[in-house]
Amino acid sequence: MAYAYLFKYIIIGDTGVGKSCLLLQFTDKRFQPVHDLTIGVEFGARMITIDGKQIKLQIWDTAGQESFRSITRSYYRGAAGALLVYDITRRDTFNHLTTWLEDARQHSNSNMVIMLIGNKSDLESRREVKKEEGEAFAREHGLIFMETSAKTASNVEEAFINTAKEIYEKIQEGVFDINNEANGIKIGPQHAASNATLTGNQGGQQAGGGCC
Amino acid sequence: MSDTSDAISAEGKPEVMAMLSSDVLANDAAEDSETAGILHKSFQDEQRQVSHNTSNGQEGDMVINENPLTAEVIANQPSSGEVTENIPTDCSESVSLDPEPGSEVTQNEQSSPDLDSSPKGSGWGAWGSWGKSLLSTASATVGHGLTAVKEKAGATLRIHNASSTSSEGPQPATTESKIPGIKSNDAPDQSSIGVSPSSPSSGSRGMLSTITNAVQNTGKSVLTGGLDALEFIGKKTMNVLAESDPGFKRTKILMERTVSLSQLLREAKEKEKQRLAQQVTVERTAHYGLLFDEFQGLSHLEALEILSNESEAKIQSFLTSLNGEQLETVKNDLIAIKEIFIPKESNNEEDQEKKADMEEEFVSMLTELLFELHVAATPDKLNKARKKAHDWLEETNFSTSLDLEEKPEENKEDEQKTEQGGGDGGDKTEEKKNKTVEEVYMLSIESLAEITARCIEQLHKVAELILHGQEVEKTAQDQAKVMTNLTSAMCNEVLSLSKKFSDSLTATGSNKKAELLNPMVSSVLLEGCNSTTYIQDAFQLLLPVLQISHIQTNCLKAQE
Repeated sequence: MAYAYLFKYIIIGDTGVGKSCLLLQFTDKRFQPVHDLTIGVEFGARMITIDGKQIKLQIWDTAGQESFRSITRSYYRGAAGALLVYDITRRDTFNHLTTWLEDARQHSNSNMVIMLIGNKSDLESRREVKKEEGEAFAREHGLIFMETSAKTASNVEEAFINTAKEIYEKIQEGVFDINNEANGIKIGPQHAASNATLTGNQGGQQAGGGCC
Repeated sequence: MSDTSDAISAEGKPEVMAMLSSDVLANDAAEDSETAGILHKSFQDEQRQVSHNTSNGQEGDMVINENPLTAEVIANQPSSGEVTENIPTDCSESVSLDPEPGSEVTQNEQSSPDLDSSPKGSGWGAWGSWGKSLLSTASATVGHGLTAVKEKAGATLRIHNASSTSSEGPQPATTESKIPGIKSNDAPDQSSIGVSPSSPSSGSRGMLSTITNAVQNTGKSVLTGGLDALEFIGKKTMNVLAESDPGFKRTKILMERTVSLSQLLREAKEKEKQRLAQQVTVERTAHYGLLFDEFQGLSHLEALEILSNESEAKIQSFLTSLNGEQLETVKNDLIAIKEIFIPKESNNEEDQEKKADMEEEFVSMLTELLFELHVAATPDKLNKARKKAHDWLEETNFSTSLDLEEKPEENKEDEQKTEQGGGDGGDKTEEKKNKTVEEVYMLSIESLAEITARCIEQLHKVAELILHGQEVEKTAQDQAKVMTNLTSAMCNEVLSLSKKFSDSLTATGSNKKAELLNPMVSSVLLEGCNSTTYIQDAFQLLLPVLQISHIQTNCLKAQE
């Protein structure tokens, strides 16, 4: 129950690429072929272990519809990680990535770890976007990349966990100021006491970038 | 001090508790006596002092955390107390950007939220001071490790809560009469002492009588079902909605607030969690805060808060772009919406009747409103949670009544046994029944947490759909009215449920010692009360959302 850290994630991308299904697969380990349209944002949470530490992922699954964009943008702020999802069987969802990325970068903190996900990898016969294209886009924009299938659960765990690992590394490197909750990271109650000294030191180093 | 707690652990009779409580109050009052002396000028000042007590309760958290029972009470307490104060104030700030001293409307607005929130505030203040002083007393005497004794102290604390809850007990009188005796050497301060402890207790009585009223007016059963049609319509609507962007020009003003409701709740939850982690033995206690978070109540609240804050910022920036007559018109519009949001104490019978009617029509009303607002998927969730609660209640009550009918004599015997044997006899009879008191208690707390989370989710969805900006036939004022009714229906439903839960608890544990049962019953009632506070607070967050929606539909379109 107790966790060392809590990371806030957002899942973004065009409507129908499988954002909610990815979340459902990750939190409940099941697949729902027909999913209701997401209104605004829905939530999921799961505990994972990295480096022997319990980390709680709090996931904000946003609506992909254009009409909800102005609302969902409000939710980007304060996220430590983002899953940017496209559908490998629909090229237009891949073409929109640049817009999504700009949006995400503009409305969230610069250190946010972004994982690019090409979903529906089980539908190989209907593939419109090559894996190499996804890899190239990720390389170009400094993202992590994976192809997943929410249906078969292939790489779903990995996508969420690898993002968390990247965030965790950034914390270790001192890139994230974990005292600033705007970064989407919270220290769990379990480690609050033991981390007090650690964060105190970090706070000293990063005093220049302190908040108010 | 040690005398008192010895007495409690030995017997825990109400009389002793009354003494202890007055002692506690006196101590507390002594601490605050300076403030009290200064502040005891007018009614309003008294309220401020009460909120001072509330913050005391917060500071006392570290001490209180040692006790599982009170911590639960306290963990929920500071947030609700503060929130009720913060939110109305914020609202009045936002609208009266350039307040005119002459405007009667504005004045009313600024004063009435304070007045309205005062009963709640004082209620929480009471919990806070109880928890703090009693616990420091208990832990000082008992020391570490003797959890059994501490639990006793916690139990008596909760019994005290129960007795003040019942509102008819002789306790308030006792409290006041004993104070002078104890604090006789502080004669000059007596007046202020007399005032400060009694005001919280009267506050909590006020709160509880509100509950009783609401409960009395509760209809017997609430309709279930009827949502299939809505879901169908809703889904169709959503398909129509798909990919049509209203394309509002939204300003990108992000407002950072350091302290927010969800943050406060989250902190309270963390403390609860921390305390849990420290506990060696895993107790079967129900933890409202944790459950509320598990049902994503906190997340929805946090998201709603974000929307509310951003709407507020947009309103402010829009207002600064106006001047003269235009500004006046818009301000009046916004104030009109806000007035609908101001909580009203409904004391007259007409309102009460209306409440009862609304209770009957909870689902149909929910359906009607959400139909207008194009919400499809989520009323289902709230309804499911409600149905689940009603189902297990029915089941429990059925089996309990069967049980009572079959062996009324046995129960009597058991009651006697329980009194003699100190609780051992009670546990044996519990096993015969389908659900134990603890199980009913756990289910009660869980249901309250789930339904509250679903209510807040519902309000969050409404906020999202209003901001989504579809053509809605209703004006913002009309929407505000419906939202007000919906919120009060939700609160009534929650209160009615918590009353039913506590009744079920009482029936299930009829053979239990009052010392064991009362804390659970009062805890359920308290969480029911907390739940309505959360829902009300979430509702207040909708105000800026409706206001910006009004601006966007009327003003911005007119400008273009």
